Amino acid sequence: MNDKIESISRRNFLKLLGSGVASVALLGGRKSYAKSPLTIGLQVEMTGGLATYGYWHLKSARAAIEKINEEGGIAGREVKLVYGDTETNPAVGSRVMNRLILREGADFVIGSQHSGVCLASVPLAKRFSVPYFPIGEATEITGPQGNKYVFRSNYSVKAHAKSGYRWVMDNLGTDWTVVYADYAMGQSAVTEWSSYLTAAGGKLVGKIPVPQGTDDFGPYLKKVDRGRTDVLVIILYGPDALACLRRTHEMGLTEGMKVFGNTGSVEALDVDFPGAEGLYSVTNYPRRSVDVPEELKSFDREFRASVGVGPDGRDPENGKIVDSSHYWVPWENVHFIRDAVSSCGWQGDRDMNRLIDSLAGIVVRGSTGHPQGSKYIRTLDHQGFHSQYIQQVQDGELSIVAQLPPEDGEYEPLSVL
Amino acid sequence: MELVSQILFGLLNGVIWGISLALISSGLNVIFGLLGIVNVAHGSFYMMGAFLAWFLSLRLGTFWPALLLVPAIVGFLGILAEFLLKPVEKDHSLSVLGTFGVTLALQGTALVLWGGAPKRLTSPIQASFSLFGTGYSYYRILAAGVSIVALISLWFILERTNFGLKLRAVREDADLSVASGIPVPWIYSLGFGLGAALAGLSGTLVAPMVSITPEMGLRIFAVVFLIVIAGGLGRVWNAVTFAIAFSVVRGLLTTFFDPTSGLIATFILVLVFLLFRPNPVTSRR
Amino acid sequence: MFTGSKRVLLATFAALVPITLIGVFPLFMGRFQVVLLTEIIIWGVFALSFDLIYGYTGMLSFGQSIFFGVGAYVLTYGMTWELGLLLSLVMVLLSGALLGLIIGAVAVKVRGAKFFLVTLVGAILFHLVALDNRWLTGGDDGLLVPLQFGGVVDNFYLIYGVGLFAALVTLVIVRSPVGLVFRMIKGDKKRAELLGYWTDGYRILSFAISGALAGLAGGLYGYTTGFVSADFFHWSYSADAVIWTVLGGSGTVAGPFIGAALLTFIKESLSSTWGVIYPVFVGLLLIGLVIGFPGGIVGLVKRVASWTVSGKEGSTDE
Repeated sequence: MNDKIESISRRNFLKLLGSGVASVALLGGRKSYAKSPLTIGLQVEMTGGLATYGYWHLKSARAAIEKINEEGGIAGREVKLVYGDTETNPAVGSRVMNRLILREGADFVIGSQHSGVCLASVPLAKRFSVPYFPIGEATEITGPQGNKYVFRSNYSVKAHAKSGYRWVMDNLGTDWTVVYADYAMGQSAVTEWSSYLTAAGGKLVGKIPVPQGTDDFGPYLKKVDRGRTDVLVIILYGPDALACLRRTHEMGLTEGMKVFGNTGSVEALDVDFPGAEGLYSVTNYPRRSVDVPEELKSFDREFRASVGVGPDGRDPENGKIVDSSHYWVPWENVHFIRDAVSSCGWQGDRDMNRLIDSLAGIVVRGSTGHPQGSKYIRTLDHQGFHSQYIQQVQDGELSIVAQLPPEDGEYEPLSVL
Repeated sequence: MELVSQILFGLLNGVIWGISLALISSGLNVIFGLLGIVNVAHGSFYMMGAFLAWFLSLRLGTFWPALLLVPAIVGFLGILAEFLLKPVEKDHSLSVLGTFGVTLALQGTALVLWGGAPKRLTSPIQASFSLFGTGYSYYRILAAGVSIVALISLWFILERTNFGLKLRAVREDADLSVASGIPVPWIYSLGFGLGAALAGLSGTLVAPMVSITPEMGLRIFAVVFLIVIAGGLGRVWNAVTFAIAFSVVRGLLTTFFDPTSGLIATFILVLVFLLFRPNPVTSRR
Repeated sequence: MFTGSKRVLLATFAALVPITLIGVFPLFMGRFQVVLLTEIIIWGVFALSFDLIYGYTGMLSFGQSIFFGVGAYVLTYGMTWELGLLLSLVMVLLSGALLGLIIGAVAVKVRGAKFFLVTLVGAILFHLVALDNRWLTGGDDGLLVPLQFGGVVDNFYLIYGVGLFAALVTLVIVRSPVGLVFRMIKGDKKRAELLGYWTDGYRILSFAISGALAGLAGGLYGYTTGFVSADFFHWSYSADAVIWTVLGGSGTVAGPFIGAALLTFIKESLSSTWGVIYPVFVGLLLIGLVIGFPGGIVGLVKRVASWTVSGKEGSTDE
């Protein structure tokens, strides 16, 4: 209670201070930055295919901004959140980006989970000189399609593969069969995972593409060469991953073979069903708080409490399951903005280059604002590198079985800014 | 040897899926083939069927009552939609637009009520047997069996009952039907309800086998239309044959070639068939 | 007769006022409103392309997204090869028209529900092909359009000019003898045939013009957003054009623009909570329109206007 009162009065004091400065500035006829709030935009999937993620991303961004405002805002300015629903659709997402920047006056935009929306928004970030923090995983976002305004603090498809392939080879097996979604996201993921595998001497036994919107996985899974495959790698998302896992179990493929899923396979999914049991997958962050590394536990507690996620990874109010691999990203990006603005003294457009310089190459350690732990954003392409985890479904719950350090994920930049 | 068993598996599995497809197509065949109403919302009735099956199974703690309850509810939804669109149901363009409106409304409702996350319904029968060396759930066989029973009942209703006779007559000669005392508006309502109920039953039967999402209806409706038109309007068994053929061909093409190219090839095949087939309505006796 | 000329005068006035207002809009409004209006004009042109084959020639097509996608990609490659905007747009128009000729020649073989289905499957096919050829389209990850964006207001006037041009050309076409034949085909194809018109030829022609317009909309959209993807081929874009046209009033040039503007504004002004039920709203709106107001907003306005102007039930040949 005391903390709260104190922080509120402090905020009021700062407000008073701010308005005082403003009126002085007004008399002097010069524009004052300190008066207006600092606006952070959020592109969020509230409807459409990724709405389960969007639910959490909005909560996460809101919580971060509430917390920062209680702590006195960013560089003395109150922080305001503006957001818009992308409907998981690039055309709508692009319009939302325009609206956030041009109408709502967003100084920064935290991006969408949907790669298509991110890729459509990247040129707008450059057009209007607004720093953009996409969440979508397509590698090109911080590669050939990126620009100097774009920063991604979470892993790309390539970073997931680079960080994870070694562990899978050492612990699950070296002969893989990959079942993957036959469109851009699945195709690029399968390219990354299999090229790391074969370069390290592993063997790609089979490569089974599945068309979009498949209900019936039987004929595809029938092609899996059971005698020669150690690991069945599943690169599918949402409903497709769910349908595929159930069929794997029905067809008896889980016996004598390890099943490994990419990052989106069990994200925000209830894993208490036979086809999921035993499944390994990569994740940026543990779903349950018991699995958080000791040194990060206190930060995790505060972070979860603020966003409204229980220790079991569910919303205590409605039981919705968190997208643990990504929901920390909006929270952390708000803190990255705070760190960078405070350190370079950014006040507006003319300080943009200083801001970009301080974000590029930024290194942070675990804290409440950075609950995901130590990480850095690479100067060359503005891609972030952090810990990744291997999780397994045990007794219907996701449990962490390994932690992979940030340097494991680092790859040669696709292009240099 | 391995390839042979893959192909045989693909064939059999394709037939099983084809029967589910045949059931939903038969529903559209009544609505579009017999009554001549272009019902774009048919996929949404199927989607609603799956969602309601999931919802009722969780509420009641058992799957089986859904087999009767869901078709009844979806059939009622169908009658409601037909009642709304009665003024325009004879106009092809307007009924496409109207039923597309129904599609958006139903899909939106599912999204609001149940959210976008994919739903999973545990299969009521867990046991499985070995089919060419891989497990195959008994439930799939049961679902196909129920579909076949429903298809035979449909055939019986259409060909052997008074209601079926009226259903087939209203379109061919509406004036005569009125003159002979057939309550035409009621026949349309009940026929539409019957078609929707079949889609609902199909949705119920596939619910334990697929991921249930609001978009599942839009994914399937074009395919169902293709089957009904290409298979021959109004004929129960033609649509069934074509549904199975479509399912098998799509399965084999997408499994053994590049899947997206396989899908493209399947659609081109059907398109060519559609464009160059003589109009099936006129060839009906 | 004089009520007729009076009506033309009234209609011209009624058209000039909003056109002028839109033209001076950027002087008073914020940059986002300008961006939104720019987008609305593009969607209006897109819906107009659908109206030409549906409202005028009577063919309910769900294949407009094919031309939209092709237009967007032709513009992207035009800009990549540094042909300049004007030449790229000319290429967009030509490719849209050519594709319209080809697709039209196939699609006019069928009518009614079959036609709807053939165009829908056409859109599904193009979407799959675009997804499958990432070397050309970038798949659903898309491509960036290399361009020098001249600023929000400059871009608005560019789109405004092109949109006005497209609307005028369409107006001239539908008022010409060719347009008369289009409408005759919509009303009664048999009669048009008996009068000696090669109806299939006219239907293909309307497809080609419509393809050029839809391609133009796609090109302008790619130019405005700086990004194109295989998604642009998805038939849901066609469905939007259908809904806008039916709401605004099919068989009119103003209708598609009005429908696009209204629904885009409604959607923009909905709060996020209400945004979730937006699809339900649109669905019910569509049902209501189809049953109660098949003429859309323009049809309603015309009915009201003809009551007040002539004091009696006016002719409804427009």
